Amino acid sequence: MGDELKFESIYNEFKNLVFNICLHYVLNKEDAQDVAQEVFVKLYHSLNQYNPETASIKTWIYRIAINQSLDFLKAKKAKKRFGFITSLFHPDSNEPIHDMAHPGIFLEDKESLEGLLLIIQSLPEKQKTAIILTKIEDRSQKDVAEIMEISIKALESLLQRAKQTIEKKLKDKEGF
Amino acid sequence: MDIDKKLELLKKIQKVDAPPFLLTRVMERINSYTIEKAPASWRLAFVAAAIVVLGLNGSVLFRSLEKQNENSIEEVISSMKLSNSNDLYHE
Repeated sequence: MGDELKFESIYNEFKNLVFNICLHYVLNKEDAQDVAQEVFVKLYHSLNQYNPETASIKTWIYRIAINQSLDFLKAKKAKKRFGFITSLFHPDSNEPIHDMAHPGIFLEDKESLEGLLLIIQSLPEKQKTAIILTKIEDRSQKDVAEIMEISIKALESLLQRAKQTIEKKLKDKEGF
Repeated sequence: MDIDKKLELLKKIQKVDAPPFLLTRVMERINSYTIEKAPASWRLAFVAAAIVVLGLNGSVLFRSLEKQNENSIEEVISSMKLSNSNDLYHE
């Protein structure tokens, strides 16, 4: 009972943070709900393993949400690859995979933001996380380095490489 | 192209509220989650089978090692043309 009360107070404090982080990775509401649900189930079962001396609860929750989102994307990619094979034998069983529909994007910036998010989506995992946390979540470099368990120098290098890749892809897209 | 300026655009993404039914779904998942334990008889049978397999592995390994030792001694004797008879002058 005590555990449930503790969990509910954590849920109420961090539900929006978790949902938004998941949303920035999976880029649509339906998948973000599923991933956020998994995050909280995991959190409930590993609440006893949380050690406040190693990281703040916020950092710990960030890590769980990021790992769960990345796992989801890997599974989705594998499913997509496997779906192609099954569709050859069962053409009707091809389950649709959700398109990008980020509810936090408004119409006036829709096109440019969606393009940018798709490029970020194609980055390697660590670069993607560095960009999402610093540029979308607006966390400080110190916080991001702590969440990612890397040094600030390593984070700066990740951000540099990510920016170079994004710039190149944007130029390709715009036909420079 | 000023990439930092382009990336500033990401700050325009608005925060979204988590759906109100999420907690109900999470609690349903938590309550339906039970760790299924194998019955005691199954666990005992598994331990016994593991012991038998390990024992068999061990005995096969020891036997093959013993055979290898015997073979290697014979090989040395034959390659060096050592006599294994007790006669001194091969009479």
